Amino acid sequence: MSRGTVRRALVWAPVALLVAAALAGPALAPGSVAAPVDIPYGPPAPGRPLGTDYAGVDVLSRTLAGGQRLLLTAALATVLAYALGTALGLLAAHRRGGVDTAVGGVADLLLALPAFVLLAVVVVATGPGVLGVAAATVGILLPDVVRTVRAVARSALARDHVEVAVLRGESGPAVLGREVLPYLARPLAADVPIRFTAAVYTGATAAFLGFGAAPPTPDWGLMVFENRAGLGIQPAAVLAPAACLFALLLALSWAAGRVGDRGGAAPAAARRGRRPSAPPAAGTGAPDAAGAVAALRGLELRDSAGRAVVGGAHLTLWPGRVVALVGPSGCGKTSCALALLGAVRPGLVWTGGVAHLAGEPTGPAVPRRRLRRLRARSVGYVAQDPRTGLPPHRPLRRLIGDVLAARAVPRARRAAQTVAALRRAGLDGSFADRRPHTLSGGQAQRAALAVALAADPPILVLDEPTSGLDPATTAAVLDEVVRRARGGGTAVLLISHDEAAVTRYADEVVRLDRAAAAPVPPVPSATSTLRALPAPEPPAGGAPAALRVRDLTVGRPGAGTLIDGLSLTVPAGGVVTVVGPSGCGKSTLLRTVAGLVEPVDGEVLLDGEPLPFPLARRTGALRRRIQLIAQNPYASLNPHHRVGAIVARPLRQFRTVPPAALADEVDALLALVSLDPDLAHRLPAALSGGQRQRVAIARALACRPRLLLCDEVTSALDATTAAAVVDTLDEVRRTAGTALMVVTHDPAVVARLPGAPLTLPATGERRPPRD
Amino acid sequence: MGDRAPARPPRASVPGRLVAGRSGAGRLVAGRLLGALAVLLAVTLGVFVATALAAGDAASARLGPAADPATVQALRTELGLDQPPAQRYLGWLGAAARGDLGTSLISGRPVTDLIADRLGNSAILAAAAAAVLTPAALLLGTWAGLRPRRRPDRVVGAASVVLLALPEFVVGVALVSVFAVGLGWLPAVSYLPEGQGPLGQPSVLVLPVAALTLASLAPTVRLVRAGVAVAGAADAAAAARLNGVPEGRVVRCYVLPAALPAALPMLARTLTYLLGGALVVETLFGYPGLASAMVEAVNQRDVPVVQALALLAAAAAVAVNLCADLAARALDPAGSAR
Repeated sequence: MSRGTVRRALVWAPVALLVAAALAGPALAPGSVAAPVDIPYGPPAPGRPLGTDYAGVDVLSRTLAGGQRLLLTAALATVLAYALGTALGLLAAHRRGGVDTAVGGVADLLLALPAFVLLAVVVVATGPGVLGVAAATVGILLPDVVRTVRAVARSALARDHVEVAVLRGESGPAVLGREVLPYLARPLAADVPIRFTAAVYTGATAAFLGFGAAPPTPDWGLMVFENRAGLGIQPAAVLAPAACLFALLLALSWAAGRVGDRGGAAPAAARRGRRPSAPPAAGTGAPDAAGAVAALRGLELRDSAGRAVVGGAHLTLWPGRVVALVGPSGCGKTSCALALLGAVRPGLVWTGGVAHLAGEPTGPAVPRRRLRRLRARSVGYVAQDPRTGLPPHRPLRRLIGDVLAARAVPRARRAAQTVAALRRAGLDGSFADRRPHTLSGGQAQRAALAVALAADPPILVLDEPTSGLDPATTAAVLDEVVRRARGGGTAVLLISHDEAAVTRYADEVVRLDRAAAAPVPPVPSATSTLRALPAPEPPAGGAPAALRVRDLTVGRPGAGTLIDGLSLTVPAGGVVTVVGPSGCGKSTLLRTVAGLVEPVDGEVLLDGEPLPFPLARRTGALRRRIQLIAQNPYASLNPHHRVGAIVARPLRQFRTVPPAALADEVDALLALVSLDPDLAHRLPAALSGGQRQRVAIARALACRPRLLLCDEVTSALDATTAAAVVDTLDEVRRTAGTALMVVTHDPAVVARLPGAPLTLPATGERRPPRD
Repeated sequence: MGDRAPARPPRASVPGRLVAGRSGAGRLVAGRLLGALAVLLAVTLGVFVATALAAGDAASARLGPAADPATVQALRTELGLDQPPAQRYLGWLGAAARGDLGTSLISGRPVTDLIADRLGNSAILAAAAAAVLTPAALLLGTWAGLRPRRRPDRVVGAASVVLLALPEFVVGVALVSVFAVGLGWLPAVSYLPEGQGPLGQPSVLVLPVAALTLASLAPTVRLVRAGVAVAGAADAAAAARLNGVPEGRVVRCYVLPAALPAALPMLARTLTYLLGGALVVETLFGYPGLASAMVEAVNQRDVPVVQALALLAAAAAVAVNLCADLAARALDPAGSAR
């Protein structure tokens, strides 16, 4: 009914038609497929439009009948390869260790033999025939299926929602079935046509090599082989089966391409996106404000669906001034900056407005080469993420040299300028020979800055230069960059959502609003059954402490200690906030309490009961009482499950409420974390970051935990959302009596929670980056 | 502070890093070599089990069903078939390690002689195909990958869908019917006089090389294209372009170094595929190489020949994959492509 359905039907129609014809072929054959009716290589005659083959048998009949066996064998082999491969791949990903090595070994072994050589070896073992060919085809397809399943399953298993499920005490099959299997459906389904095509291909080739069915059997591959000597006399005997095979494989591989290319839902849109519907007029004169080095007037960008992403933005850059571009995430800040440089992100269309850079017009209508020269002359650009913004393999000397060369700096002066640029960005000259992949995040950010500063550009564009860096170094480097810019008359465009940086550096602030404001769901005022619940198990006499940590010592992965003799107490229904510099072991502390990390020494007591280590030794009831809320709400919810199912799962697992009351309880839990119960029907992808984090909290609360461990739960959220989430946590603490242990580096979070924070000291040396 | 000072202290630490890196690389190479040897050993076992044990009795196969049982038994003893399987495997492996690959059941000639006769021909065919394929795939893939979803990309994409659907023997038959039968420009059969290599008669190479190249071009071009499309749209290339670095340099120094390491292992698989594709092409053109010998041996169930040639093919494939893997690591020390 929809256009998509029609398109899909059109893609598959030729395949279905050809497959049906091939399957029904033997019934359609007008004559005998084995008995000679004429001289060998006889010419076409009435009733035999394609003549006869080397044995004098009717070519048309044989051709019609020659595809059925091929297709059935290929289908059988594909099904077997998928079943076996999925089982092996899941086993390898889940068990790891020896099983993983063994499965990998089998895959390596099968891959070590080129496909057709494997076929030859198997055929010697089984003798020629359909079974041997099918077995060999399974062997050829298997390694790829195993590898795909293994890779997808491993990456799924590494996601936070799997960790949450394991912490909650879900069984191995439940984790694989509920959390991992949904990830496999798509990649595997997308590959089915490709694998089936490969199976058909293998079967046809085997028949051509004489490995398949014995001669009188009609088979396209065999027919080509048998009749090739007569190609000059009776070409139809070879070309007819070859053409059938080609048509079938072509239809299959075309359909496979369409399925594999799921982004293909939008190829038409992308094609439209290539041509700006209203190309900005090039050369409409200089920017109206005299003295400006760059300007945007009424910029309008739309996505391929025609929605406005940026609607009428204005921006002017002046020499020696810092202009900050601010706004909520997704409002098009980076797109605006790129437009100023004449670049349009893939998927966006420039639908209105003009841009000028150093006195020349920019935009999609300006030839690329001219834009390139213009940028080389006038712009230094620092991309948002320094880890992806620099190629990992190229030494900084070369990276800076590229920019200097583009600006035609004489070779003799490049070495000195390289060192000068590095130094201005806060790096010493020895970094010239380093490659970006050996740098830390902060060093990479400074390296990107050095590249941008190298040619002393009159315009400097900095995209989120303070994100993810430690504040002290950033401030030092930015101070220096901005001071020089002011002194040297450089215009700076600073894109940031860091309010502190903006107030500190900006001479002028340009605010962008989201072009189309997303509707904010209303917060309902439902009551939760949780509030009416009796207080969770009263503490066993004496001090009402939910969690006690005594002399906890945790080792660092390599050697040494990360946490050294730490003691702390979280009162029942109370809150402890843990802060400290990055790498001091904050998260490790939480993960130790959760049971994911085993301590070297010390003990952890929940309600006075010592918690066993490792996690596997904790009972389900014990696991239920400690819940972890992970840092990244984008990874901690399974994207394939609806919100309602995610929140209901712990309720089912622990049978806390009768099945009939499940839906009501889910609504109440959602209301408790200030979410509209209607969201229960949505998938996580349709939620904002803050909403997702609330779902994660609701899921944890469904366990009726004694203690909630919150690991940087606001770090992926903007300031307003973060504050609201923290308030929700604190309210849950007060109403449901759940104790909180909150790890954060955000002073705003500390300020919103009662009590003084516990500061962990910095450890001697920095932990190596996790990845 | 002295301007030259900063160059010094890191010097002291850099050699340490380099040495560590080098020994790390050495360990990596050694580890990969051991792994490759282990795979080869496993292949010998797999091939032996499949061909010598599962395939039934070679003596009765050779003498036919009507043979006298006493004669069969005598031949079994002569061929060592009455020994336990493990001993037979070890004996075969030991002999193979010493360079004795056994004797053909059909011709009675040592398998090493057959290999010596034909290895050169096959190597020339494979090398010629690789020499045409690699630059063609790199050029087409880069050209299309830098223009994603635009006309060049769609033309290359559509052509590769068509080529992907063409099995070698269909390509070969089409080439023969046009260039040999139709136009008569090139020989339909690669007949070579005894003891003469294809280099003396390059015309016999043209159609086999064309068939092999056309059959493996599409997957290779797609690989390169995918890698280049990703690297070409990546932040690193975008940032370089925004800093005014010329497009040629962006492609050479930013896009290709990022795209190729990821494509290399798959490229190696395509090259090993050439080994398999040679089975078809050599058979189709009657080219006197190892692959056509393999097909004949399979159809005649000449087990020693199949064993030896399968082992040789596996060794070549493992070597190519190993080289590609190490090259990919050397080109991409950060492992960002993995």
